[in-house]
Amino acid sequence: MKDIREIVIISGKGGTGKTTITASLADIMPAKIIVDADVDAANLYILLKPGNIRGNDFTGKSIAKINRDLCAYCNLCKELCRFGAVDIVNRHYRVDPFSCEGCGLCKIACPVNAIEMNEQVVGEWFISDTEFGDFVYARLIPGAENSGNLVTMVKHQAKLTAEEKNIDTLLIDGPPGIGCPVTAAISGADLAIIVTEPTYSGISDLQRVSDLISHFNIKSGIVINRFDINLENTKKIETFARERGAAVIAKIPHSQCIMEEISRSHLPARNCKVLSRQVENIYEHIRHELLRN
Amino acid sequence: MKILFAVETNAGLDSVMDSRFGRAGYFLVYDTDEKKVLSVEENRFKNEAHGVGIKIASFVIESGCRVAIGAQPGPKAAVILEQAQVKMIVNDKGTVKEALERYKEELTV
Amino acid sequence: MYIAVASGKGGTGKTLVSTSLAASAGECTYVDLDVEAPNGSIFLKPKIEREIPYTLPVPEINEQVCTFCEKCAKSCSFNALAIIPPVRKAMFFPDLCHSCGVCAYTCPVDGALKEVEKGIGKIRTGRSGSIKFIEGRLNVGQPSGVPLISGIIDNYLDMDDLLFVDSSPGTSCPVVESLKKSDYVILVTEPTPFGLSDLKLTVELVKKLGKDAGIIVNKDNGRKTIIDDFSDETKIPVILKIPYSIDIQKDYSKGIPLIESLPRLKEKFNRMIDGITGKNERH
Repeated sequence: MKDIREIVIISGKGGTGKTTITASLADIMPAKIIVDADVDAANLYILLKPGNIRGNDFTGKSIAKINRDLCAYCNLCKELCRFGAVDIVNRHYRVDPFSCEGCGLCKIACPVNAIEMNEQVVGEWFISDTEFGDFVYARLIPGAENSGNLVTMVKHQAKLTAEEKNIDTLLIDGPPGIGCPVTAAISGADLAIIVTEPTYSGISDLQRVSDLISHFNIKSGIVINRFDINLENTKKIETFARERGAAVIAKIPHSQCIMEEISRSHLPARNCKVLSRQVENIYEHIRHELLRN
Repeated sequence: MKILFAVETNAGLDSVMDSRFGRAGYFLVYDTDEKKVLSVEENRFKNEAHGVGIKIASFVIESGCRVAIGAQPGPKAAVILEQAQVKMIVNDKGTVKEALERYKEELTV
Repeated sequence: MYIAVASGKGGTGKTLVSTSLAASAGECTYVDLDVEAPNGSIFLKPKIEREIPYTLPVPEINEQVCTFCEKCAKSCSFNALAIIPPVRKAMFFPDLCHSCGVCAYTCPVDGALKEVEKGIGKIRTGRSGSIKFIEGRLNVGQPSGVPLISGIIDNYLDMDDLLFVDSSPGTSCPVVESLKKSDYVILVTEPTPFGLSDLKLTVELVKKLGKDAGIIVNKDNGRKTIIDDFSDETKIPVILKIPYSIDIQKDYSKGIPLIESLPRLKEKFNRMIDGITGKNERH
């Protein structure tokens, strides 16, 4: 497969403005495939308004099921299950699908082979068209495990689409947090853009996500959103960035304009100069970093 | 000596290399002494939810291959292959024939 | 009573609300189950009395005794084990392990595989005035917070207390675990299309779990919003609206709890809590 450059936007803390910034970049960047890897709470579609949406089921872990007709009521599965997933309901043994981890211990131990493991459809992934380019996203079924596999699938489908269309860049809206879905989103990235906010929670989560990025040895740039709500914390972030050898590539002021545009599902950078200027800075940094290779 | 190729299609030496290792479509085993394709198997692990690379690495070892050629494997598969002293060559371009040529060239460098 | 606070979307003010509930109620327990990013302590500033490492059992293979039969690796649903017979090596991948015990159960050789405890995070307990404080904190790199969350719920909570439980954002497993034993779920959202989109997902989950719920709209603009429309459609009541204010945001950035920024909210919070707990007693 040809060399595809991946830019991923992450945040540590949720709600810092990742999706808004990704959409704004999608509006000004040429030739790229756009990916929403925040499969737990996929929101990019609201701003990109996709059409020609083609969906595919995604299967995940298996869940145990007890065959009532074969069950010997020996209680062994309930005793062995470490996740408390075996209940007795109306005097029958039943597996709680919300607690079952899919380990299969009950199936292995059952003396009468009354238990089988069934694969579950845990989500759906989509390929679509938008005015900004091809857009790949997914939706996890509420309650399902978010292990990162659906993220990996979405990125892989995006790479296949990129190959087909002879495009060499992926713009990825990443998930919040520091768990598996984030690891899946950043693995293979050429550049990570960390969107943070000057709050104590924001700073704390920025530190945790920076640790994750260093572990993967990925170049990063930091964007401080709503920087003017706390200038002291903004300075703290700038100091932190210097210590880590990361650049603060944009500082976006808090703005009523941005909030109002989002409320109307419009791209805020088209109407709010304070944002568009900063998004251009971010894009400059992207071009600079990726050209250096 | 046996070499394993992680391929997308099942077309003997014309099989196209897959862009993924763990979730490749098929695994082709080639014997360099007998100079022929010994087997092509569909990847039955490709839909595993977790740790597919681990299953693949075990499969490579069981097949008796000393070399594996394909896309970059995940870190876990890579470490298993290393422990098992199987040489991993990252090359997912072209066909098996082309990858084999390249492998032979690099041996003689 | 176990009152869980959830929000599909991150950044809507879940922690702001859950800590404010605890601060308004006074005599209660605040539980931070957002184990990947526990931030409640920033606002409640508890005095920590105990820090307890949380461990899970993981396999340890004795390569001298192991016969490399591969039964453990083949029965592991998560591919956390790899056995390499030609070089007599057994490899374990802790980040794939779910501590289910299948490997130990299937190993046919005495002494070849045993389970040992591995730290995955820690639990901190303490007090903030009259509020009991409990927090779970997952180690960076650990794949799943679910066992830590269920460990806290099963062992550290007194179900007779008034509990305000801060869950993770989103709608996947850690959230399910935090909501499972709840008596009521407060859904925190914002009046934007993003907020609504994620609220719908969380409501789907809450309905699947069969829980009673109410909506708090944060950063409210004073007008009738798409959230009000959604509330009318689904009959899930909006139980409180917190006005949008740049001052609240500034205070939040400094770790100042909401009821200090806006003291008149304390009364509203208490009335809301009474509404919820009173409702519970009637059942």
